[in-house]
Amino acid sequence: MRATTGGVARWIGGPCAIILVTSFVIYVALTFAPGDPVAQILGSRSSPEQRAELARELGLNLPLLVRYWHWLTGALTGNFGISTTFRQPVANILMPRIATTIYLVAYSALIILAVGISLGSVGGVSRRLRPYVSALIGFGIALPGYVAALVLVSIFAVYLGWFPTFGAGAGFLDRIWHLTLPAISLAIGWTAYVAQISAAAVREEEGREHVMTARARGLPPALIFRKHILRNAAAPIITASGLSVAGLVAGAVVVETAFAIDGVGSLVVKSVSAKDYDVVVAISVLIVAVFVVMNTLIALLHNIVDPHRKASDS
Amino acid sequence: MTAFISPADRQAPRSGSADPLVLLLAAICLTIFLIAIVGPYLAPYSPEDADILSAGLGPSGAHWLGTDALGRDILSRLLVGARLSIAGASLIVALSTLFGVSIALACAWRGGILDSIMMSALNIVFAIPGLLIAVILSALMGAGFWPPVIALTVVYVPFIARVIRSAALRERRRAYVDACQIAGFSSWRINLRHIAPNIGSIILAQATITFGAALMDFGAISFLGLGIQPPQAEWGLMVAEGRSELLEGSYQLSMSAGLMIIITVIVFNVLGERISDRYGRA
Amino acid sequence: MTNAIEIENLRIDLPRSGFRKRVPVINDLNLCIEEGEAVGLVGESGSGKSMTTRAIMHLLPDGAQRSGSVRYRGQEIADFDRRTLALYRSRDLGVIFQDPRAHINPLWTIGDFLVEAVVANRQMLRAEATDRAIALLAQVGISNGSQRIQQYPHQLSGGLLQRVMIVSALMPSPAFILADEISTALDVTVQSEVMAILSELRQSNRLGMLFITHDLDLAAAVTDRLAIMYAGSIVEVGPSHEISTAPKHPYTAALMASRPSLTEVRRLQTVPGRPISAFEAGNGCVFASRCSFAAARCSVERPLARQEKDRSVACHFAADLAPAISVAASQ
Ligand SMILES: Nc1ncnc2c1ncn2[C@@H]1O[C@H](COP(=O)(O)OP(=O)(O)O)[C@@H](O)[C@H]1O
Ligand SMILES: [Mg+2]
Repeated sequence: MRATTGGVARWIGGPCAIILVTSFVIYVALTFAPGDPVAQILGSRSSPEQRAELARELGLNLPLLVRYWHWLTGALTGNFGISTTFRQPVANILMPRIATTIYLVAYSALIILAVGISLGSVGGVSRRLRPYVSALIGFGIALPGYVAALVLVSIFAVYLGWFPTFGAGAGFLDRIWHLTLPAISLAIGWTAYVAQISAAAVREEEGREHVMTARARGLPPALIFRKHILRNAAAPIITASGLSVAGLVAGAVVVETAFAIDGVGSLVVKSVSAKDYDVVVAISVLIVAVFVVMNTLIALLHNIVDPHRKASDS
Repeated sequence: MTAFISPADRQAPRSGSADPLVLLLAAICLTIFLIAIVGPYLAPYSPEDADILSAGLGPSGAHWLGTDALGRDILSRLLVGARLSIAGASLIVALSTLFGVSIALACAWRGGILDSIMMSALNIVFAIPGLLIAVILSALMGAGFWPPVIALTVVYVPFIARVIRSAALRERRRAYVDACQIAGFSSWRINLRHIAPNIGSIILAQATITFGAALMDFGAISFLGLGIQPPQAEWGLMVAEGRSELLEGSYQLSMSAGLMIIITVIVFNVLGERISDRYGRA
Repeated sequence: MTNAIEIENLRIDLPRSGFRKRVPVINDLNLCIEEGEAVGLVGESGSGKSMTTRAIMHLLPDGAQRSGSVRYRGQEIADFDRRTLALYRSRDLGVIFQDPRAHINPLWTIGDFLVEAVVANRQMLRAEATDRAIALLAQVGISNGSQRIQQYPHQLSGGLLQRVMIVSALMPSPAFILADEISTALDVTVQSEVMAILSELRQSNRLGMLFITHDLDLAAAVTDRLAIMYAGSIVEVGPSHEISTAPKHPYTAALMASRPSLTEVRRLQTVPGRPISAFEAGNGCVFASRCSFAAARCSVERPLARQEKDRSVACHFAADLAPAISVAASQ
């Protein structure tokens, strides 16, 4: 019983607390940010009375903590405020864009996991291919997403004409087709990172004595790799993969802008420039929430793959 | 008296002679910095002089890398652009190393409440993806060179502080630190004259690797239309400016600026890796 | 009697940091083991004992270069195809490693470790293999086998884990056991228990064995013949009781003089000098640099192994030195 309450506190309470604190920090930071939302809405030719009126309506004259409390209770019921540029509830603007960004991030995550772990495994196991894999990884890490995006566009969209140059598409297949180049550009850097960590972990595990035992017992190489090398290298690979997927959400900011995709990432850039702070706060808290949840998942997975903890539980 | 000499010599390279690859990379680094300094004097044309008559030219004897949509010489813009890009990345690295190392040394030295408060504060920053902080902060601070520099410094300080703090904690537990304290040296002196130099190679390696990331992120901010504004020349901005020409099949502008970023980042990353391999990992 | 394993003129060169070319770690090694026979391989750390077992398993480190011949039941193992090699390793050999904690994957249960090889090589079904594992665990003195197989390695003591390792080697009913310093990590009481178990199992199953240790007395107690190894080659071979009472090679004598006595308390006489590896030995006798009887000839000419009845000694002066050596050994 105590273990379960402790578990709930640790796995749910902790992340919630972090999200709460960061949402407060973000809210306060953007409240003090330059720019007056009232002037933004009413325009510069409004009278002081009009402004005072609207400020009262928006609750801007209330103490900070009270305003945050209002925002928080609103946010928990899906009300993230009003966008000053779109003059619509923030939630309405976000919904369709979140779907697009989820497609993009999920697509990239698949690429990262599949390519990153395979490439890392090859580099970790094969002495012959190791230098080439390292070079590839070094290049991938040094390739910024915005440069990768333009290189891919100029080859596969402009020159070969296989993929569209911008937009997110509608419907499943059309989306996949539109998002292929963006997903690859978004994935490259993180794929290289996951590959680098995987290669080091696989290489280290491959040299362990118990792997020699497995070989000495005549086990098939594929089984040895899966069960005694990759499985043992899982912990750092899980960490790297989780961090990558969490980082993708923020990386979408650049790639969505590069491909003119109407997602959450490009929206945050536009909104922050337009001083549309309700939108910025909502997206930031959303991204932080994904980030924190990912980190919690990493920790949970670590617990599952480690028999020391499994055994002491039973 | 010998007891008080901090063991700086233990970080001497494991093999005697200098690694030729490190020398080569260091030479390239130096060249890149040199270009950033003297680039504007090498540039054959003025980087901001538009000339509609010679817009969008391919590479030729007069314009080695061609011209952009406004007829500006790409090579000149690349050479001049090195200044802002390299200066931006260098300042980010210098500032975040300065703050990160100071925080790390203070936390490792004092421990206790200061350490817990500092580390929780940094953990909050860690809970927000770095690029998001950078984009929001530099947008809030407006256009210009300093907003992205300050924003990215805020992003990198926690990373540097965390690595250096654990190195400093390890160093603090060594016997010579006790010896210094018993000898009555001030905390400042012990930290600045003994602990900091002894973890110097870790700081250097961390700073070198941060440089690559800083250069890419600084470019990303200008790519997004924040920070550096046209008509100034900066590599990330040039990549963005080349986008429309790219769709028409002329790729020199984006690719030459992109290539400069990639080469610089690779050189610094490999150099950083070599330094940390050679002097032991953090 | 036929030979189970024949090693002839084996030489192994390995890449080594700080050296441009590969360096030898096994040099001109000859050894035969008959079916059902137990041979002890005795030598100081670094002499190449483990490398010899790896040569028998045909599992050398990356970049190793091998010459000479290792035959199993008359067949050259280097010529085995992948399938034959897998079967040879899994069914003919049973390997017990020195450090069970490192040689058993910590992430899988004991039961999984015991059955995985025989199941993967289609020798048995899982259920059948589990029953056999529990039965063998009982034979080595682990009575609660059905609970043990659900545990993870970190939940077992070193002695228990070593028995698990022995069971894993016996699972496929091999013809030949390679036991590499299996007792070194155990404390003395556990050590003698494990040795007793192994000897019993060996006799009841008529297993051949290569028993590796640096403990000459222990080896003499559990084996039929001893081979004394130094710097990558074998310097003396003969029946265990003869070697341990009347050594002929100066190195064997020095080893005997350096073992702790059970009856009197005295300062240990170590073999003078530092043990060298095969690549450090020059053209002469491998032991020349530490031998107290060495003459000029010893450091320029490698002595060949001279066979005399069932003993063989690689020493130029073995015959002349016999009286002096027996004194040295008993000191
Ligand atoms: N994987 C390896 N790579 C390179 N050299 C090795 C390796 N394993 C062992 N050696 C070297 O081979 C020699 C013999 O080692 P080993 O067979 O393990 O000795 P022993 O088991 O008798 O202690 C030693 O000099 C050792 O340094
Ligand atoms: Mg050994």
